[in-house]
Amino acid sequence: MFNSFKTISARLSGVTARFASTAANAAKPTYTAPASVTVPTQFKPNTRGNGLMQLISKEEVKRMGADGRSKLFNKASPECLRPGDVVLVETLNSMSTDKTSSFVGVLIAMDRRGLHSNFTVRNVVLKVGVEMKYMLYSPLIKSVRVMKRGEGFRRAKLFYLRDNPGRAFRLEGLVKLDKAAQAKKAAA
Amino acid sequence: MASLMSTVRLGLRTGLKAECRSFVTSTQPATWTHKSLRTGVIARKKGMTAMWDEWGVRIPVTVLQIEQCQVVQVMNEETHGYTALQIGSTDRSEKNVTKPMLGHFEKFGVQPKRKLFEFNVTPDAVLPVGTELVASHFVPGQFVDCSAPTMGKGFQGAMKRHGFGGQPASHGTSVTHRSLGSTGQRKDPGKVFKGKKMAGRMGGEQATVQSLKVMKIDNELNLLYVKGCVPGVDDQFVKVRDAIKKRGDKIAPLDVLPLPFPTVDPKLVKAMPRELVAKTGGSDPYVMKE
Repeated sequence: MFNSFKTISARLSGVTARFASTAANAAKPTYTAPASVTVPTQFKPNTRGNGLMQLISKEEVKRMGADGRSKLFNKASPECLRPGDVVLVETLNSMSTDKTSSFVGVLIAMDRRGLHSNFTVRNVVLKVGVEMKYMLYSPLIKSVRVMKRGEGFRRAKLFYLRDNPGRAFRLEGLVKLDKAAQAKKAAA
Repeated sequence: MASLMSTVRLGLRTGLKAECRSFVTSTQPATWTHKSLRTGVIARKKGMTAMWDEWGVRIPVTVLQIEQCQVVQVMNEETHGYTALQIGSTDRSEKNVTKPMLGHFEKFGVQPKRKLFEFNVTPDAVLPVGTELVASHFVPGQFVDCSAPTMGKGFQGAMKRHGFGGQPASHGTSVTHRSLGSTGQRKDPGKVFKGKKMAGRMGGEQATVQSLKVMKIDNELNLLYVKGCVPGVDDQFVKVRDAIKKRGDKIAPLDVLPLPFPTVDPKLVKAMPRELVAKTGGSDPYVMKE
């Protein structure tokens, strides 16, 4: 199976066969990934100071968070999300289309779990309370934008807003302002 | 005697290690037939994580690491009456190995291993002693069966152990909510049948999970990411074999077939990138089908 002969013309033209040529040719085999296999961004594993699961988790975070979404959960970063912020989450409807859906709401929970980090956004839509839970590193999440910073929230998890919303979910004005700002930006 | 043992141990420590690691190529490359059965591999369950496939679907995966997995002994038809490969996993230092086992490994010129399992193979899939099995023995997208002892659950009642229904929580039931109830008939047969399902120790038995898809292969760390769960605890030794219920073309996508037979060429492994991810294939699940 690994002894397919490579013709001289093939070698000269630079075409590489999938499998190695014979030992007589002493050519180094090359690998081309077939259609059912993807080759992701490759990293060099640094095993020092890391257990195996920590290492692969860190690499996967680096790979999935290449667009900088890790900053949203990093307290040291100025872009960090805080419970109580009003956010607009734009998600792709599927990987094969560019159409997006957006959801606006108050960030009521953030769970820092490495690759499985997630956050919950709550809003009252047509008098019905809706909570959406998003996985931060999902490829279906296009963007997370803060529309307004939360003020006066003294908890990490704002589950009390389910029973005592107060005026927390009066977000129509914000949405309108944001739409206008976006339109201006697009026009400019 | 002591000096002899010390020389044997020295030999094991210094000389053989480098030789064992090399892939000893057989003179004639074997060809796969539909009746061929290639060897399995011993891996260690390292934990679970998740990954997203090309459609954005989140897939839970178990990480299995292949640690110094080598062929220790070849069983053949003439001497043993069947054809199999004895595979050993995870090197062990000589001071921790018993003399009988030390003699066994020294006879075949292999570093002492922590775990030995046999895998039945067809004669065309026999590998020479000392061959190292790596993650690329499997291809991304193929199906595998994983066998390992299950997690021990201790002494458990019939409801958990056998799924019995128990008795009502109220309406007069006294002190008997989770018991097994009746154990038989009356004077005929007048006994409880052997094998009657009762409370007892649960778990710690071998279980096989079939047809798990290999989602990702890591050539540098020798990892297999299989979709789903694998029995047992972390750091458990798991036997990983090609799925027996997926014959011929069904075992892997057509463009990765044929599977490396009898095992992958180490030169090809060097040419591969470090990580290879399988695609789920099919159509986009988030798009409504017309």
